[in-house]
Amino acid sequence: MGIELKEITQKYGDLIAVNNANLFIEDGEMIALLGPSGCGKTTLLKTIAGLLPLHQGSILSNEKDISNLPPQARNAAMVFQNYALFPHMTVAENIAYGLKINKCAPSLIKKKVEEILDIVELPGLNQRKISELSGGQQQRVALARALVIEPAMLLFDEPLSNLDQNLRVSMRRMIRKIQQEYRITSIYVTHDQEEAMSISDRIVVMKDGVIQQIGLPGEVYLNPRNRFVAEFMGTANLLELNEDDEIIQLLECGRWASSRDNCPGGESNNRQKRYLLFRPEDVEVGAEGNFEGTVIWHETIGSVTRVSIDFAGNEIIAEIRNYYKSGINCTIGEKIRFNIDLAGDGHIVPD
Amino acid sequence: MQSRQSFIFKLFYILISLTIIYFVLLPIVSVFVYGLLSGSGTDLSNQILPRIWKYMKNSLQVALFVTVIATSFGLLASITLWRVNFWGRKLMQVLVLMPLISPPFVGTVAFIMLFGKRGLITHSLLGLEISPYGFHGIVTMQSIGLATLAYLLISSAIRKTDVSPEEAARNLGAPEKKVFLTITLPLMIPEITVAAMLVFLTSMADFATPIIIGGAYQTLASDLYIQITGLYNVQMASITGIFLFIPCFAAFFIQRHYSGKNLVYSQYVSPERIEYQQVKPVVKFMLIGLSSLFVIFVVFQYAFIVIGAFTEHWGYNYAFSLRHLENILNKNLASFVNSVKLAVTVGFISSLLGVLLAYIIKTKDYPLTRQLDLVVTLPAATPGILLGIGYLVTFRYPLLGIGKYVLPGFEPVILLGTGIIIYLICIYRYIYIGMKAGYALMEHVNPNLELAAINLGASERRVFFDIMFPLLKPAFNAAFLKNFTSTMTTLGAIVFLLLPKNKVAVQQIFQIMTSSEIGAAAMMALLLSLLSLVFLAAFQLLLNYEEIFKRLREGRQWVSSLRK
Repeated sequence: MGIELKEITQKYGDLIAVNNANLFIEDGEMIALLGPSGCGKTTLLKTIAGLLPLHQGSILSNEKDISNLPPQARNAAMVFQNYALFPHMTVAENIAYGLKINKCAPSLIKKKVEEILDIVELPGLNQRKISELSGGQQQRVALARALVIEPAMLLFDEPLSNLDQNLRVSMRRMIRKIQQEYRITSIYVTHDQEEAMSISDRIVVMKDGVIQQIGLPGEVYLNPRNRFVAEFMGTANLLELNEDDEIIQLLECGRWASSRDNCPGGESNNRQKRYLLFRPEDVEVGAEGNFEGTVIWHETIGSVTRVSIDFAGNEIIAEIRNYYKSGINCTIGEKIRFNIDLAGDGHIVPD
Repeated sequence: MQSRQSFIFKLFYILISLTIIYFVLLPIVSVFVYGLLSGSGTDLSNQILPRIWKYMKNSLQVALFVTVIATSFGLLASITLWRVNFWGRKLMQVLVLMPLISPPFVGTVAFIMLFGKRGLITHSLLGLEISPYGFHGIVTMQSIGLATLAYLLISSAIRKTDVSPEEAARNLGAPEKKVFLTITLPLMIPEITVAAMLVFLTSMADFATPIIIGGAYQTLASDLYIQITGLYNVQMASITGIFLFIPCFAAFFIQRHYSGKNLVYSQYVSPERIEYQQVKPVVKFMLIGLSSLFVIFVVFQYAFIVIGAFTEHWGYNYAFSLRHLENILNKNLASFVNSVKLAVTVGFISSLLGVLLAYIIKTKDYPLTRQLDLVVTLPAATPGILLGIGYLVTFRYPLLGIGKYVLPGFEPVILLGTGIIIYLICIYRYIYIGMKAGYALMEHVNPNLELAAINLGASERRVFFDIMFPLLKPAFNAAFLKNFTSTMTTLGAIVFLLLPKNKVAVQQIFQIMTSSEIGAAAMMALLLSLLSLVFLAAFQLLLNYEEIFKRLREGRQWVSSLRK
């Protein structure tokens, strides 16, 4: 089921939580709403579910206006952040709740509950109390409870934020697998860039209630539209450009000087700050590098070592793969040589 | 979502608000109106004020002494019974709670038996002709009774304190004394001030103890009682009531304002048992000694009530006798039945209304919820006897009091003088208990639960009955048990409104005591306490039957697994 959001604005009193949001979600697509806390992503999600009254704009489902439908009639099952499982019911009762509301036959309910428990890999836990489940199990019951009513769309509100790292990774694979298998149109709210990139077909980045960019995960990562998106999507080296593009000359990548127009939004307002963007993996540390800087700090997290380099007053973060075998020596305060790979487009971003 | 269900909630909210204004706010306002407006303005300064001033001084004197003593003992007992390890601690934890199930002035029965004009100790043993009546007697009796109340609140605080700040302080090198004074005690300040405030209010509102053992030393509350029952001077009583109300109201709101924490009926008890490992023996023995003294006082009260209940004629003939029991079974049985009927009905209705109201105030976006909350809580600050006066002056007229203005020619007594009025006053007086219990519980309920049910297609009615109602049941249960015991032992609010046909046991005890029939009073107090105890146990079973059945089932499974 395709969903279209048209010019949606939501307010809490005077505070604008969502400002003129427009978005089209294809049938069977998984969209990630990504942004820091307070950016309006959960508000937008609850608006789609009908749990918050719509202030302005409209929501269309298969070109039909559902803006005024009560939440009960939207068939948009939600997976909540703290799971919102009913603590006084068993696992089976929790999952069966939506089916009972829709007056499903008891024998069918039983069958469906069993089936869905198999799908979320919790067979045999029907009669468990919610308090007897681990966080990961609770998360899967919440997913099952939403899936079992065969919703037209699935809404996820940071469903994995209470789980530990390993569980988060395996759960997000399970969610993605089920979502793709059943082709359920889904919206996934998260503040985790890695989760958003790995789980979704497209990413919507939000800040202060405003949609900053909509695009494929790779697009948003490689061609962020502004400084905020660049910094939110992983680690970014952003070197501020002055009128003379001093940095560009310094880095000997003159071809960028003429491409000021490449900068989205840059042409409209020349006074806006502009930055040269490259990612840590674009920086290649090695003795044959063209540039020289001083090591400020470095940290090794296993496969990768990050080095912060002071280069003519700018801090540049570089990534070294396989540091222990690379023969490179990072010592704080020592000089280090590096190259920057600036192939590709869109390396200048506005503020 | 403008459905029929939300209409029902709105209707309930409007109706409950109106009746709360009618049965809580109006009577209190009436006391002011009646006391200040019905003529004789000149008398006020010349005759009435000096008289009231004397009683006000007595009231405040007693209340301040009692507050300090009872709160200190409550704190002391809380620390000793929950933080110091010694033999017999478990037993003392139970014994110390005994006064909760009996009317507040039961202790006075024992006091008179021991220290009265023909008391066992003062008269029979020491042969003294002294009178214990007066200030010291009132302070002693109230302190013993109310220390239990203070203990209940403070011990719940000490049991649910977070251990980590204390551990951090020890880790930073603070000695135990310092840990207690700088960490434990400040963290308990909200509960201690709540306890002190409640002790103060209860002492101010207690008219029975001064009447029984005050002698010439009377307080505002007891004077108010005398004004009505002795002289039927309602206007004088109303003026006294105003002066009684002011310090109570002030204490309540000052406490509420400064500690910013309301009475919380928390079910949460810290899983970690904390005990002081290194207490100086001197301190330990002092703590245990003082707490034991307190517990012994409590136990003695009950021991002597039991003895007195079966004694032919206390002070004159100490032979064993079943005379009092027979008398009561023949004459006063109806009052016990009335007490139970009243307590069960009030417990059920007021707890249900309170929890429902908490649910509506917290989840629905209705207007004026803050103001309603304030009015509902008002009875917590209002002495029962004052509310009783309010009902007396408000509902003397037909059509629930409105008749005074609409139908001046009607029969003067309508609501007043019916059996319903004591039910109404108790129900509306205790709604706040259920409401606070509901609030406390809802703070622990994930607010997304309701949204989750709505999201799965549940209607507003189903959300309430499937999700919120079962979750709020513990709040209802707690409020029910509390309201049941409070109503069983309440006197002030209903003493003016009772009729011969619906007299209750507490009032009977009080009347018998004022006529100095100690044996009969002891027997009635004993029976009432036992009755409360039996009913409380029965309700505990009833309210927790699921849990108990589950335990039984588990136990059986365990036994059968052992056989295999």
